Amino acid sequence: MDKTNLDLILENYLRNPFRSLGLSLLIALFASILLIGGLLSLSLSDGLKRLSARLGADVIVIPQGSEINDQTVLLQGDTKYKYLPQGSLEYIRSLSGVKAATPQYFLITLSASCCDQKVSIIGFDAKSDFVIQPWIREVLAGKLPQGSIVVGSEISTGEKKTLRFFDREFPVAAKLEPVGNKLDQAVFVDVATLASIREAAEAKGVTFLDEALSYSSILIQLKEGADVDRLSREIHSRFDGVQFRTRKDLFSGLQNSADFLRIVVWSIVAFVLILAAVAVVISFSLSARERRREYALLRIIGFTRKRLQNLVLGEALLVSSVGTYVGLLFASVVFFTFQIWIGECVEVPFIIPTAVEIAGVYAAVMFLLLSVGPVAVYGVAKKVSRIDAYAALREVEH
Amino acid sequence: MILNASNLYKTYTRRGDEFNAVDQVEFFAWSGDFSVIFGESGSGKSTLLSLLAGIHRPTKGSIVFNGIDFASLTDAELSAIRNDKIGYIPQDAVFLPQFTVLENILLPRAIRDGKKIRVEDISELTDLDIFSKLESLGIAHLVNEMPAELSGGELKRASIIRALVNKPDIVIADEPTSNLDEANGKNVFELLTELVQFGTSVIVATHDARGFKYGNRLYTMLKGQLLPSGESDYGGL
Ligand SMILES: Nc1ncnc2c1ncn2[C@@H]1O[C@H](COP(=O)(O)OP(=O)(O)OP(=O)(O)O)[C@@H](O)[C@H]1O
Ligand SMILES: [Mg+2]
Repeated sequence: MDKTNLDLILENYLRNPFRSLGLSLLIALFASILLIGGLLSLSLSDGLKRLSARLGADVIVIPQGSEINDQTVLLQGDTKYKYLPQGSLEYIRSLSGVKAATPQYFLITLSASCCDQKVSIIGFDAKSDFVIQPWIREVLAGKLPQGSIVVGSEISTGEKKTLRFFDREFPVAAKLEPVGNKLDQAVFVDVATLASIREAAEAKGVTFLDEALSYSSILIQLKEGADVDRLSREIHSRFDGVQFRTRKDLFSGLQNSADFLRIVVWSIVAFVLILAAVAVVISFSLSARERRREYALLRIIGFTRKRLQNLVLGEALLVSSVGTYVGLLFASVVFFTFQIWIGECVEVPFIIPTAVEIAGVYAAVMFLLLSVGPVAVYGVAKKVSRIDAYAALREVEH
Repeated sequence: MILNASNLYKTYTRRGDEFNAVDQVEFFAWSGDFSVIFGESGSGKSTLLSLLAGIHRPTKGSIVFNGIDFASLTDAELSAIRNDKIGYIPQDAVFLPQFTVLENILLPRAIRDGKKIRVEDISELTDLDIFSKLESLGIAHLVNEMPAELSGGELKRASIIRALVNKPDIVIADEPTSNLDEANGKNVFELLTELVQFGTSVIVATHDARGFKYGNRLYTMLKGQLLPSGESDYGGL
């Protein structure tokens, strides 16, 4: 674009600050809504995907009376006295349709050196585990060293990279990627390390695993085409006081609310874009009508129709650009300041997307809102370009 | 011949009836001609000038400028001619309100050269020719004002200078002295005469009797028809 047009566009923008800035601010608002909406839905679907991948098991067997939080896939509530019956692991392993089964141990400590919040300790059986160790392998090459622990992303480990339980220091071998829920505040240990935590607790006079390492849950991986219902019947008929929960059971509620949220987000996006287009069209039609004689003058002194059209499109682009950049800036500050709070509000797993994904959302919002102005005023610009200069010149305001 | 219009019509409709605001007009002009068109209000002078200036299309007939038929030109080509070769001064002055008078005056040049419009000060105006013309019309001291702050007559004079900025081959002026006093009106005719002496072809529509004195081709419009005027064809110079 040449400098003459540029000057005209800038001056027209500044000339009617009420309208131009007002319109830009409206676009800024829309850009904020789109950006936050986009990041939100991305965070949700990422969180859900990651969570579902994390579970790694097709079925979880847990004691009657304990609950599984569908966000965390963690046992919750008072699990202190709730364990699966002896022999259940061996029995489950013996059933046809079961490819693998592994026990987990779950306990909650009230005090640890890391933080003042409760920490969930999840113990796994290093030999049979197929759930926790793949997560650990994402961040730690090789095996988990003997006596070391792995922590969730939100556990702070201090300078020494250790965590203290009951006055005993445990080296932290790795920190997991965030998953966007309470798993980020959990500590993962193997059975041997769990035993030494128990010892440390007993040394301080605290008992919280009264029976030696009874399982809190058993995670099952099924064979291809396994009959889930039969499996459930077999387990229930053999043991009392157990619950049998499939991955689908666990995630359906979550999936529904995430789907619903996604629909809401996309509706808002569509609505916002339409609203932005309408606002831009109205504003530009009004201004084009007011400025008919100026457009006529430009035609008379040498503007081509094309150039006149570009002038109007350029003005729309400027209004959209200012709005978009202001909006993105504002929304970025809001989103990244309050992301944790937002994550808690939406009550579904929520993780901050990767830099590439975030860049994608920014690019999409920028593309949509930068183009909404010019696309919306295209008709107005065409009309302006077809102006009958001589007729417009005669429309003298008296 | 720089301009040759033949069999020119512009037809309008009023209350369903068609009438010719320009009716079978034959017109030509050479470089260095000072053509003056008289005629009562509503006779079609402005309409004819708008056709000659290439800002309005005739209903019928041809306009040939420097050997090129307007009808054969693309929008870009005709726009370039309007910008560079034709200086059109409309009956009612139009200005871009957000730019100073000087910036408005220099606008055709900025458009031609793709330059920025913003001018800091008249001292940037190195073109002494334009400066002396501003002086001769008595508006040199006003050029840094905004258009809204000038009177109708001052704006009219500024729009005359604007039409001259790209040194056009033809200047087409629609009542250039209509709202000017005696002395200012004379200055305008003197300025136009000066252009004529350097070879510009000037076409003026006017009610101003001074036109008889300055023009060398005199016409009268009557209900859309262009008639040679009663005065001598070579009266002025
Ligand atoms: N768009 C139009 N539609 C219908 N009639 C029109 C239109 N434009 C001009 N006219 C009519 O055409 C005739 C010629 O108008 P024009 O403006 O050319 O007259 P003029 O000689 O310049 O008058 P004046 O001296 O008052 O400026 C007038 O009767 C006018 O009402
Ligand atoms: Mg007129």
